[in-house]
Amino acid sequence: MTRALASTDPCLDLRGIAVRYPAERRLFGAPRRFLQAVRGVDLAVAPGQTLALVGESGCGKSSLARMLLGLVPAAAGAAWLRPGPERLAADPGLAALVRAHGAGGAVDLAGLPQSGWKPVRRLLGLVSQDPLAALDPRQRIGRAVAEPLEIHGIARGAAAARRAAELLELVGLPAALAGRLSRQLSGGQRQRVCIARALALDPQLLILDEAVSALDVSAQAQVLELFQRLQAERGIAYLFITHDLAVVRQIAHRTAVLYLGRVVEEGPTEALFTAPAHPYTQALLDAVPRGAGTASGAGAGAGAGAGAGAGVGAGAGLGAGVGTTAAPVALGGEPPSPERPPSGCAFHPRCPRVLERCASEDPPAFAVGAKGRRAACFLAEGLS
Amino acid sequence: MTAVPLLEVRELTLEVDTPSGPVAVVDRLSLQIERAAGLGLLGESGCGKSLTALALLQLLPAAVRLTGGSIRFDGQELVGMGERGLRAFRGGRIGMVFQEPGASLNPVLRVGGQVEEILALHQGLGRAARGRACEQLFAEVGLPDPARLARRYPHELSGGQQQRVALAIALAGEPELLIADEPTTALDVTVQAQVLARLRVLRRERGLALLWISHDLGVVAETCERVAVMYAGRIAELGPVRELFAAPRHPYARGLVAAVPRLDRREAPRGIPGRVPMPADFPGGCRFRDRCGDAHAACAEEPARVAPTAAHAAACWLESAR
Repeated sequence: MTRALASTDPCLDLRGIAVRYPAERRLFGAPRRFLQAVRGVDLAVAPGQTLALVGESGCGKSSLARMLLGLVPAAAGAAWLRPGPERLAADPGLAALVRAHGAGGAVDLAGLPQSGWKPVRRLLGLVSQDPLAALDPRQRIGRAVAEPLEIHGIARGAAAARRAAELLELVGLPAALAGRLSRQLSGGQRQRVCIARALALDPQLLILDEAVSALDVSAQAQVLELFQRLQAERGIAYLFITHDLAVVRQIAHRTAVLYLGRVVEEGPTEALFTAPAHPYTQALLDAVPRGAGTASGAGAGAGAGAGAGAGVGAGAGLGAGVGTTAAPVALGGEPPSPERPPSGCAFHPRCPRVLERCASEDPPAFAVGAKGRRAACFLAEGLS
Repeated sequence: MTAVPLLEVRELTLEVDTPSGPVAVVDRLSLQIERAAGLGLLGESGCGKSLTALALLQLLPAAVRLTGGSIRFDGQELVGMGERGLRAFRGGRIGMVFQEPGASLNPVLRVGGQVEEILALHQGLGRAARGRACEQLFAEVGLPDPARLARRYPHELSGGQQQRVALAIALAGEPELLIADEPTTALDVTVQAQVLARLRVLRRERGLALLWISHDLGVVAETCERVAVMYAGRIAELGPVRELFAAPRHPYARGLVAAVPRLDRREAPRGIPGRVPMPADFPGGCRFRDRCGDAHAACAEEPARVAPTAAHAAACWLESAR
């Protein structure tokens, strides 16, 4: 136990998690080379709270989700999932699992045998980006929602159908839709079906993997509202994986920024958005086009961008509450491949504030201010 | 304005068949783009914005029929023009970029060759001149090491690089108008910022006019001076980007602006109740009236259309009360 935690124990606690994929296989034996998708990630999700995981393609956010769902193994580290005492008392299967593979009332997902996943599924659910792909096109949606109840022996037949109807109403869909097929619904309605199905087992933690990214803005606002209501009513914690920073600001209590498989900054969302401590966080915020609401949206032709394809519209409304006093950070290039991570700090080739040591030394996570905030950047050293 | 507008669309109607008969998914739509001007076409899925873009170059899918209206480019009517005549416009005077760069590039040809093909077709350049022009275009769209990159295949490039190649292809015909259908939606935000910045430079240097189709208000604000908000195949509101986003007049545009999550402060986005109806279920009169908080008896009749030349106008009965 290296990190001090808040008064409540986290319901999910990741310690030094690594995920890697074979990059170059041999006919026999171990692969020649590995791609390090996630490297030494420490993260905690508090019960009933939302932790946002943000970053660009290839930053490892989906690999982390896949590891938590048991779809890829962890190469190192521990992922403690902690059911509350009531859950343990109510669910003998889970209690047995914790006795066999756990410690301190928690179970380590990174070391879980295949047979251990079924009880875990009741605690930890998933809502993914594409609801059309997540639903069977030939299955009535009432059945889709009732199925987990039957698989886990919670209810069957008419009782399961009744519960499915209740769940559909809980997510704001008329129970009469239960007889429809997924293609007869709109994108927003389909995503509600997936949410109802994820709620069927009464999970304490939901992984929301780009769960609103494919929706139109008005459906997106409605589904975000639903997530917040469900959290308030049922105390569900969310691991909210997204590339959309504006959504993060509206929904997340804490935010973790990933770059090339590492957490570069983590802390309370408001603090991170108003005064980012890592140059990459700053750059991500600066790259978001400003338009609606911020009167300072940059008009076309006003852009001052130039130079090596790296220019960014200087007119973009920084100072509108986002960002520090620093000038907007314009990033050149693209995230490097995790197959060939740069030396030292992985961000140093693109970093506008790079120091000499960044090319050779990988900065550890420095504490920034209070509330467990941290940033893996030499510039953050001594900010505490 | 006495000069002929670069693009003049009048009463464009596109129909699809539904079980209850043909429905106009784009309904008597009029819009106009002056030379070197940028117009954003903003709307949610199913509002008809992409079909409008495809109709401009007569690239409509088979299920959609153009049943009325006129599309004039630099004074020339494109509706009814044969394939041979359209060739000078498609990829020539009018360039196009789509959302999925991977889908618009030929996977078995080197990317340089795909640019050179356009240079040969529309500019009649010889082999050596084509190679030089291609490298220059790659540099212009911000691709590093153009000579080396031109010999690559699409799958060897990142999504951001592929989209820049697609942009280079669109520019190779020296277009006067660029039609861009969500070209940055699939890109990471830092890469999107780079592409938008390049595009602003290109517009300024080439005097390029732009029709930018998007569902993202922020991106439209960064690329265009004017924006048309579409709903169910009609223009709901047209006006200067900043003015429209700061003070939208049409109830749908107001709902859309309020639904966008804000980056600059914590303030819950509000969704518009209901959803965009399927074309077969479009109500008569104002098509937004079933979802509109301000709907009243008059809305059973269709309000006056937005004139494509209006400085700022909304197709709403509340407009006449202003």
